[in-house]
Amino acid sequence: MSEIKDLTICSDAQIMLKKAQEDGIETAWDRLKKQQPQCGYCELGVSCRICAMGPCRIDPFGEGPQLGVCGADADIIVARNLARMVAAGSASHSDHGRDIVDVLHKIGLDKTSCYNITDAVKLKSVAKEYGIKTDGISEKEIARQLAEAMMDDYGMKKDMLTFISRVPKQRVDIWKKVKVVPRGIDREVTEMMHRTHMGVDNNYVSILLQAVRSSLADGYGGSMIGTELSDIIFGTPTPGMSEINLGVLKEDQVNILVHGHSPIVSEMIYIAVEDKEMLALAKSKGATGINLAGLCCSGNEMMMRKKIPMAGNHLMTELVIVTGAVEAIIVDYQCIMPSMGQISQCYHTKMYTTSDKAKFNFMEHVEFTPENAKEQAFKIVREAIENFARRDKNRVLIPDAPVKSMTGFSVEAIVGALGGTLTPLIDAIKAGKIKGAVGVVGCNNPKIKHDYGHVELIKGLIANDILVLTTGCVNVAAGKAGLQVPEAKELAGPGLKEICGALGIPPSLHVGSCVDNSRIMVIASALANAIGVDIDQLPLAAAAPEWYSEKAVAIAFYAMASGIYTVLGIMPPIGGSKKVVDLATSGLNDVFGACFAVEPDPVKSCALITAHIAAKRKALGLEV
Amino acid sequence: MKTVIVKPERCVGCHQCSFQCAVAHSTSKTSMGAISESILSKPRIRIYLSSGKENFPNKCRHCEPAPCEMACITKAIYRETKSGIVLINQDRCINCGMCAMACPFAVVRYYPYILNREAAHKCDQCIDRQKEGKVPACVEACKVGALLFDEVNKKMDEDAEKLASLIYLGIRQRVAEPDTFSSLVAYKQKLNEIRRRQS
Amino acid sequence: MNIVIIGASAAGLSCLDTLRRVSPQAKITVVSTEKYPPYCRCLLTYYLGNTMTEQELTITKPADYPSNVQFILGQKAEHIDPQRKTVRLLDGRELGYDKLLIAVGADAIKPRYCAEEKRTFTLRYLDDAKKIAETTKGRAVVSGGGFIGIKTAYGLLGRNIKTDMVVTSPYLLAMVLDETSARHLEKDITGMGIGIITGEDVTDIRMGNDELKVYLSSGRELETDVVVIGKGVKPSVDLAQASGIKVNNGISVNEFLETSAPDVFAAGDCCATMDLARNKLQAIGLWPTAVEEGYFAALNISGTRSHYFGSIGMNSLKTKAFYLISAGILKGEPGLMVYDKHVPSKKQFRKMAFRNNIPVGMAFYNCPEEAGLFVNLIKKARPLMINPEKVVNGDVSISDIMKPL
Repeated sequence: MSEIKDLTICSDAQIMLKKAQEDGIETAWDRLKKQQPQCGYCELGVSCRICAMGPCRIDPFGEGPQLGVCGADADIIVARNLARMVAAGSASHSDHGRDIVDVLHKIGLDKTSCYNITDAVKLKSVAKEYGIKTDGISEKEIARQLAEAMMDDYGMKKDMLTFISRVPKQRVDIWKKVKVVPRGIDREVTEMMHRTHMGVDNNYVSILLQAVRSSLADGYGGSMIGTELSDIIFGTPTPGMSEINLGVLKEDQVNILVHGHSPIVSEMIYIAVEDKEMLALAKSKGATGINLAGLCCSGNEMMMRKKIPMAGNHLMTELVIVTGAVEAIIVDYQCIMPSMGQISQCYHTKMYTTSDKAKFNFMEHVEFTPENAKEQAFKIVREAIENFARRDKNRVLIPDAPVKSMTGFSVEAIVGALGGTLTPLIDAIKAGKIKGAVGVVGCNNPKIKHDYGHVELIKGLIANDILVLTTGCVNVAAGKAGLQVPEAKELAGPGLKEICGALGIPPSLHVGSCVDNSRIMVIASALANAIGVDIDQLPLAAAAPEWYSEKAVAIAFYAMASGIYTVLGIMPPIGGSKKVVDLATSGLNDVFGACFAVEPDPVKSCALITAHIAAKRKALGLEV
Repeated sequence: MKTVIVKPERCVGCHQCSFQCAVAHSTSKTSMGAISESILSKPRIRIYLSSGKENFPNKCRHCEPAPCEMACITKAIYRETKSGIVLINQDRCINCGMCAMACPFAVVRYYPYILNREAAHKCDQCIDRQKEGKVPACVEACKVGALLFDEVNKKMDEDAEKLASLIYLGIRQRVAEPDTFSSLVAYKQKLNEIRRRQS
Repeated sequence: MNIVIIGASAAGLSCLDTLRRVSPQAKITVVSTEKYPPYCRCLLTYYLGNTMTEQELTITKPADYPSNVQFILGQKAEHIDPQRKTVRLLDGRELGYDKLLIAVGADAIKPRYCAEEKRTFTLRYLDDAKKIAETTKGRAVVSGGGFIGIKTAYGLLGRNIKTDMVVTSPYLLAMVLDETSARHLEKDITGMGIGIITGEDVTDIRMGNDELKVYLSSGRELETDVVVIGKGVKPSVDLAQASGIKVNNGISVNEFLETSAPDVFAAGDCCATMDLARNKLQAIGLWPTAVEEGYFAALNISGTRSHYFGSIGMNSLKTKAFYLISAGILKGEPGLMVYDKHVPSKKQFRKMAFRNNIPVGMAFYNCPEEAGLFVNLIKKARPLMINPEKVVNGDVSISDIMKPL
């Protein structure tokens, strides 16, 4: 086994990996090693399993078949495979949004006592965007109408999703020209699946353009709806402090973790955990309190709104169980490794699934509906408290002390921090104090040293006076590395340091969960509209240094389509088609004003991004 | 001396051995790099499909004496003294085609090895990887145990012991619990039977 | 043990290499008529074609051997005394032996008009190649349409010599191919710039002013600078015969490569072993066969009783334009069943010949991938359980042979 310190930069992870070895627990790193070498055809994207005439593969060394049974060449096979990744990613985000629309609808119909409107101001402003008259009607009525209007966005009633109105006109004109304006959230995904069926779309450009459209139906559709409605129902995040890393677990408290994505579940657990009766029950069992912490995007949502600490990101999720200190983990959907169920069997940890859509072995299913969510949350918290007694103190190891991290930078919060408008930010960019902004987003992948890709890139960017916005797993990486506190301004370049000092913000801002990448799109559109240019002229970039998920492919596509240069740390499976690679790394520039680059080394990707931002500044006539 | 042992009955025909062999013999040793090299690397192990629809991985057996070595008129083919691996010195190869003709297992092919110059290619038992303590690329790639890297005598002893213990337990015929792959093979053979009856 | 090897070509050197492995202590003396360090005869056409230098032809240098291995170069073995167990060299020296290997090879067949003054040569020795190269001024005629003739013409092409082949048979490689197949080959060869004149024999060669006049059987006259005769070889049996050793179409040997004289072995082009395709004793004049025989002779010399079953004729002709592999016999025997399949679009053909279900001959043109399988199946000399039609259609691969239905 390779050295543990080569696998991750985080000391809490290193300590846990050692304990996992001793406890005989297999992790994602171990399983990746066993899979080596992974299938060369699949790595290059030239294997196709779409129909029963196959499975087919193209031999990149020229000796074997060059066409699938249907006659598809490598370009078509690679394009179809990539497009289906985008479809799956878009579908995931969109389904997440859908469930929240359902909750809003139930709020509007007065069918749920568990949820209500927290940010009524945002409710009204979003409703206005949907053409709903908000004067003289109740909140619940606005909610119902808004939910039903958003359901239309999901269907085939429209020519253009509502939130596209937020995007600069020049950008939408580009999308109109190549027919990628998203018409319906579910429609684009369905059409993507249709087009990639055997014998439908067999031109790699055409397939990939529909993939762009599907991704836009996510970024300005499912994800954005998810973000906005979560703000409306649970509160728009405001800046505040929280904590990150395994040290947030407490030895003397009942530790409950939320994992997955939707605040629909985690916010209910929060209510149960804060309840006086539950607290009393916990104390009666010998705990000093109940400690709620988050993993992955559920954690991000709770951290942004309720300042709940985060225990870890994607590759930490198995290791958190290995601490032996967790009474319960409640999951809903996405990014939950099935191995967690198996690992929980080796400790006293109980795991619960809450969504009909996501069932796992070794986890108890406690189904949450908008009607019973609170009740179910209390049931689970009660069981978790009972489980505290089964914790074996001799097997507990909580490494490290927690690291402070600032959070809560919604668009509203950023604008608020800037004094009410984006003007100070625009001025800072014009003056060169902030050279530009980069969204560093995405997951972890054991193929890249855990958190190394994220942290090195962010350090490099902020040292170059580039403001960083983080979402998803990157928040945990940056937070753990101490980059998301105001004191981190010392690591920034002089210009960025000055701005951070003046505003009391860190150089790396936690913007939210992965659906909250839509917040970055909102800021980008707002900046572009304010200055009067298209998004691709702005000194912006995006990076996903350690991505693994199909959702990340969808996000990368919608970022690129919005005009934002996107650097990926892991090569997507497209290497088998020179044409697709050329299109992705340069051809797209001609259409969207942005393209992709692949660079696993964060030092090199930092150089690529800083050069890109310098070029954009130069083109705008700004000092480089 | 360890060598590559082939168990054809386990081969699922995924061709990963061929793929990783080609990558291992490229300059860059990565799949993306290998497919962009100007002189494309080629696999030295190939999978054949028998008319019985069974897969057969075929590679050089490093025979002793080696018919290819005997046929080679420039002594480009030689046996490496320590490992016993039969290697081709491509600089000495004059591309006369005698070795392919002499090989009873048809494992020799002729490809460019530098610009404008072809030479004989065959399995070199990944001698460079072995020097680094690794197993041959095909063995590493095979996830179903159709390719093993072990000493023949030791492997035969193990197999013989397994057989002996089965006999001792009074099991005359090995009753193998059908694994998912043998069901697939049985299905393919059924299809084949139908095809043969119809022709 | 004291071993003497007469002949330092394929068989002799192979025997030497094997003996050094199995009997490293043995004292070995190798005698060769040629003064050059041992070289590979098959590479002479490459030397002729300027693609290989003299150094590159060299297989081994006498200085590279330890003290128990001695080379005597440039000396002819004149007489063997099987009773006294001595070999007498031309210069009078006598070498004693415990075991002796005769590996004197074969002589090129020389028609009466073949003489150096007439600038007409066979191509058997390095000196021949040197003289041919020196003599030609840009033209050459090659007499003989077998493998050697074709290889010689192809070699001369490398030196930019305009070559014409004169072939007695109506088409090239008549010993092996049928007319249809041969015409494909001829097309590829003439495509390279080599002239082919079929159905003609060289009847006489005369010196002109500074050029040669070659007279053909039809009366036609050719003008050229040098003529190379490629009309085949005969096993060199003079030494054996003079020494009272039994000879029949080559030096007679048993399955252990022993001659009629005790402790005297023979291997290579000079001896007659079992031709498994023809099913009779024959001197097979091929490099790989000689190497194989030398190997087995060495095993038997060192005391192991190793049974040598014989071999088959086989030849590979690989050029930039085509790749022909042939083995065994494809004609010349009544009752031979021959199957063939031509694929003109790929410029390919496959032929296989059977005697009572046993494969005895094959020729694959431009489809060498599975050829080695069938060459070795002919050597096995056992009935083939696969439909021959499938073989010539190219539908048979190694898996069908290793895992028959």
